[in-house]
Amino acid sequence: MTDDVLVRASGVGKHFPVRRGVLRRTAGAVRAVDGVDLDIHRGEIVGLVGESGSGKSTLGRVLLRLLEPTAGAVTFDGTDLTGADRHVLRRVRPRMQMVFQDPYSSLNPWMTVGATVREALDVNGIGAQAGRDRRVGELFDLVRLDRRMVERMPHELSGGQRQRVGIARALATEPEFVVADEAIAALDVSVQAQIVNLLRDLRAELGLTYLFITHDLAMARYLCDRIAVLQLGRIVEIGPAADVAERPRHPYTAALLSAVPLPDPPRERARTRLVLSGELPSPAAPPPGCRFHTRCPFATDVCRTQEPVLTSESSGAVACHHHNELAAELHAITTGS
Amino acid sequence: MTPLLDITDLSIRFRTDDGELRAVDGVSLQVAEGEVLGVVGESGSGKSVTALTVMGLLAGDAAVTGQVRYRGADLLTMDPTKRRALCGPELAMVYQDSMAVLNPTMTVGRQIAMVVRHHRGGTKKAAMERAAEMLDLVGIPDVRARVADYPHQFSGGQRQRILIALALCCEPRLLIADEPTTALDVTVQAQIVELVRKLRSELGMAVVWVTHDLGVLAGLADSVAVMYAGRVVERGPVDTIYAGPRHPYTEGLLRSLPRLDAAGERLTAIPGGLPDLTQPIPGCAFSPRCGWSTEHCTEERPDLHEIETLHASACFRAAELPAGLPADPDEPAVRPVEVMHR
Repeated sequence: MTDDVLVRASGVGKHFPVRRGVLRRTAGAVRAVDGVDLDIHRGEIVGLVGESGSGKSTLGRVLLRLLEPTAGAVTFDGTDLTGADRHVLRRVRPRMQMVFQDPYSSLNPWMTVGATVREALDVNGIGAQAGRDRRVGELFDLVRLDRRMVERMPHELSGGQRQRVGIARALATEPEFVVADEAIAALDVSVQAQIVNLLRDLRAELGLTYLFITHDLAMARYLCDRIAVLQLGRIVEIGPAADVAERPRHPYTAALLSAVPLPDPPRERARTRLVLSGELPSPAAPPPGCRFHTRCPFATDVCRTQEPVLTSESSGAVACHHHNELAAELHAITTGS
Repeated sequence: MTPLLDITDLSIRFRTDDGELRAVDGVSLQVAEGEVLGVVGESGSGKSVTALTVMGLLAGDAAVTGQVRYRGADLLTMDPTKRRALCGPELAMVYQDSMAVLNPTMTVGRQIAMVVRHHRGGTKKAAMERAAEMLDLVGIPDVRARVADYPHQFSGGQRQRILIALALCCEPRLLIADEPTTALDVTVQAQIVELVRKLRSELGMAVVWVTHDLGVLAGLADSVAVMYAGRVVERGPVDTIYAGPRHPYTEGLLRSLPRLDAAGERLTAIPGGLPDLTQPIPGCAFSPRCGWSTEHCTEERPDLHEIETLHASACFRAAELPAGLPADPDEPAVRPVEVMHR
């Protein structure tokens, strides 16, 4: 991995106004993403994990500038996308693409899957008209789909095949950066492995850079180089995938890890879990202090009043007042002993 | 001892535009009193249809043969009124899609209370008390205020727990859960698994937990039945299934799971997809995707047979599986992901 930063988020925030009453007055804001700094290096796979409502998808969309951030800046390969005009965006957009969660609703049911992939070439004016059908065939090869499938309609395909079409469509513009938003969540376990292996191979073949958004920490650990853990719109921990998965430094990461079932019945039954009590606080009214303190079993007074900042550690960064004292305990929880 | 639930040779066929579809083909399953049976399979394996049949919720165009005996009485031939009376106090089901089950125009407290009064009678007040008690049991915070809330006011995880409360309010002897945690966060999934484990040990309830994820069952099930293309291909005690699977499909499912505790070797995906169930399959339905497949497997269908006490597999080569696939210079041990046809 080089130090070549492809995508950079600096102090990125995305607040959605909450409107109330007949006059639709702004009555507050949902702070879906709040002060996120993140560098994604060329050729790197960064996993973004967190529960529903943590702001994962919003952050992914802000990085692609599908949503305009309300604070901070996003740069792509040195170009500032914040407030960029449509000419700049038009040039940059083909270089960044998205693979969606639901391969059932993200494909047009009235178009053959070949036409869906070709549309991406037509819209972006890629290649000569005559060569585009051949290019669609190449893209099908690339995602290991039989070329004869171009004539099929989405409903004739299995979930895994549909997701391959979604990936082929994303790759049509020869992007450098791909955001995969829960791209395997809707698939059967046996098919998830196929798609994740495909994403891995495509990175090696095409030198792609991914943001892999998932709630599945085991899959993130398998596929990603680094993992960033998002909680209520803030990164609470980031580091090399193996470190985050084996030696979490934030209690929230440890809680997520401890909820991942181990496919080993005797160990799974004997395991002590860090079970989170309480509900996820609303991002419209995050608690004061550390945003995790209402659910954190280790919270103390300082956590209730002072928000911890993301502090760099040896190989990553963590935002917890007590990460030094808790290291051994969190490690024990993660290993299930 | 007679099992609580005894499914014998169940077959379910649907008429489709492409011909008759065999969704379930000769399935036999037993669940003992207080046992947790995990039923695993991918979409189209017939696992959900089997669950729906037990509840009597199949659409009218399904052709069902075989027996589904609950405490000795066949549910398939039982008088519908009698059968309906069983649903609630004896049998209850938790569905995957909570928004489709809950009535959006009625408070959750009333929905639960209605079920309680239907089966147990009593005053409205007592039924509401029971509803609050159930919601508290499944971990809904601030119950007193929230019984009067409507389904959309709850999060997905909370709605799933409300469905569990609804299913459990009459203390059923058998709970059928169809992918109850699939759409939920791992943290909420862990809470629900913990809840079902607790209720099972407190109430002695039996559970059939249907899922595509072997991971979830590890800490929950006593025994596991693996389904593929409408048939049970392996069943046995949970520890045996995970530690020594005797069907290549089960082995494949286990190997396609990423593990937090293992370094990042390549996941072994199962190549291909389910066969077309409207076409006759002469041999083993899994053979096109199986690295162990021989000519025999494509010609004759292997039946489920016991290979050790309580552990059965429907694979001709079940006995060879523990030794691992012999290296064959002409044939790769794991077939590469190949072009897929329907």
